[in-house]
Amino acid sequence: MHHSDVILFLITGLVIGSIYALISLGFNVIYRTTGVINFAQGEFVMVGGIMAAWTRTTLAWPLPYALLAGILAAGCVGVLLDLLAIRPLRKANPVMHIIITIGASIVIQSVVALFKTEPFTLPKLSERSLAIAGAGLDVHSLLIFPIAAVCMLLLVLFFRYTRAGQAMQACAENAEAARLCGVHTGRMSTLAFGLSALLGGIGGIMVTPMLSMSYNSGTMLGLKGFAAAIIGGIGNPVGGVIGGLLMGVLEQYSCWFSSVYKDVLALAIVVIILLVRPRGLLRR
Amino acid sequence: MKFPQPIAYGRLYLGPLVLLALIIVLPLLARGPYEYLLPLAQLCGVYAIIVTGLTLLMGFTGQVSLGHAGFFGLGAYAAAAAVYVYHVPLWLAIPIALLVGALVAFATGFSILRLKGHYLALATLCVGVIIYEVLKNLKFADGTADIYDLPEWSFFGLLPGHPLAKTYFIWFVVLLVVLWAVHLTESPVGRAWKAIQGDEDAALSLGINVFAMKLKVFVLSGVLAALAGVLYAFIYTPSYLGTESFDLMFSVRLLIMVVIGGLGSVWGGLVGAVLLTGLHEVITQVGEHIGSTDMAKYEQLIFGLLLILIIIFSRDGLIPGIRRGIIFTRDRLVSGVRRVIARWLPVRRT
Repeated sequence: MHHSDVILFLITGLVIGSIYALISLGFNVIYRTTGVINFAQGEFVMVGGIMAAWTRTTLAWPLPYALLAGILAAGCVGVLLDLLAIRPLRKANPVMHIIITIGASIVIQSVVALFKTEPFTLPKLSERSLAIAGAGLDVHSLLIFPIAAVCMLLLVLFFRYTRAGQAMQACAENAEAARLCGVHTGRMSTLAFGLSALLGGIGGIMVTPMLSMSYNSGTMLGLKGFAAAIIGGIGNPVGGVIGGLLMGVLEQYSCWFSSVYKDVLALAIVVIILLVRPRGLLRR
Repeated sequence: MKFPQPIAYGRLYLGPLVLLALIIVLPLLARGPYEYLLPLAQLCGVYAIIVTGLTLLMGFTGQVSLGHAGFFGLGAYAAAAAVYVYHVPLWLAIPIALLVGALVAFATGFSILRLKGHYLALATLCVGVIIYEVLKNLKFADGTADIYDLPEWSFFGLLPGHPLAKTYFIWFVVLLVVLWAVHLTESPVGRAWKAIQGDEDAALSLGINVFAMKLKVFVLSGVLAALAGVLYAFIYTPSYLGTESFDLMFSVRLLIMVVIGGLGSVWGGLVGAVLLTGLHEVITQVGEHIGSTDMAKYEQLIFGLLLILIIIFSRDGLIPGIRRGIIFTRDRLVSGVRRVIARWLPVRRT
């Protein structure tokens, strides 16, 4: 194994990992605000990517509009998911929430499949590639880092300095007390789903040029993002981001051993971490 | 205070007796042009076995599993591989498959069942997908995981391979499983399961060994799934066994079957298995009628919507929900009609 491959794998892993980090961040936003584990998180990524690709290739929109359309479409799906499926179940137990988000994820997938089942592709933001340490890297994948970083920074600022963000944190601490203080918990839940879907949509438009997206690609992406969230400890956003990066890198290096069992490895890590440290690697 | 009373034997056996009658009579009606329904009935029976186990696990003990498609596949492949690769006689392959199912279910359950709620759901999902991926990457003689032309069960020389005999056999197994499950749920064990579902700590303080109980029910449901897998491989599709029917989507479909029938009743699970398989057939028939071969996405859409609607509107299953809906509309209609009558026919009431 040449050392340039090692670096290439590391960078590719970090790039894919930052997508997982965005997804796991979305998980945490929803979980911390509402206590719901959203199994439809991967579908946000899928909807974002496919909407952008569809508007770009079929409707021939300019790229920025297409990307914006993708992100907004994902956001709308998130808000709709909360209004139609989560809100009627406010008082049910977490198992019901899991089942209903699984149902929602099937429905979203099959609605997309009604339009087109072939995979979509999207042109990269930049077709140029750089030579780093003897390895060729395209600029697009390097752009994913700063974009993911900016998203995370904006999210931190939102939680710290806006009224809505603080209200969401209040929901996370204690929903009952937040309601007594005049926080509309239902609205906060819609906001959380919208925000997390926007994050997923951003992940989707970034990942589609690299992997191509079809109606059923969301499931595995969502699972990996979920795995990242679990590595970092559910409810711990920073841990989720680190978990995502770790996941991406591990997955790339696992190709050395066996490309077939790449997905198995990710899931096996989840099971082992759930068993050994159910609250995540980063928590004491 | 009212303590739960054991049901009288008459009532306990009423359901299984009705089922027995249906099992004997219904397949006889499927003759001539309707004979294609027999394989469908066999599939219903196979699913009913897994769903019964899952109902015990999810509906009674309250532990979610999204991985039973894996145990189903494991049972099918363990028996098939034993016969196909190692040339083990069939009567030995079946206990081997059940044992493999039990061991894997025990190993996963022993480690996983400490987790609760969504953690458990995720862990079982991962186990199911891992089993599926491993099965998918098996390499048999032709380099794929497909197995062709398994030996059929000959039913002691009676009607070898006849669809009617196969249907009777599968549903006879279903009857035994259901009878066993009904007995279990009415026994102290079943009450312990319900106590665990209600409140684990309270159950623990009552002297129930919660972990052992959960593990038992998990292994039991795993073995039932493996048994269904064996029946699926050797009776339903002996000519071809592939991995595509054991994926995550199948686990979700099992979940839908359990939820449609209503969590918390063995009979509900049975109804769910039959309803969902029937719905699948209806959708396929409609697809053939309108000349579309690719109905899978419509089917998925319908199943997903069904799941969401049932969870929102009628968490105890489709049939109680429909009954409530009918009563609700009837009451609304009656009161509406009364209001109209009261308005337009001013009868003086005393």
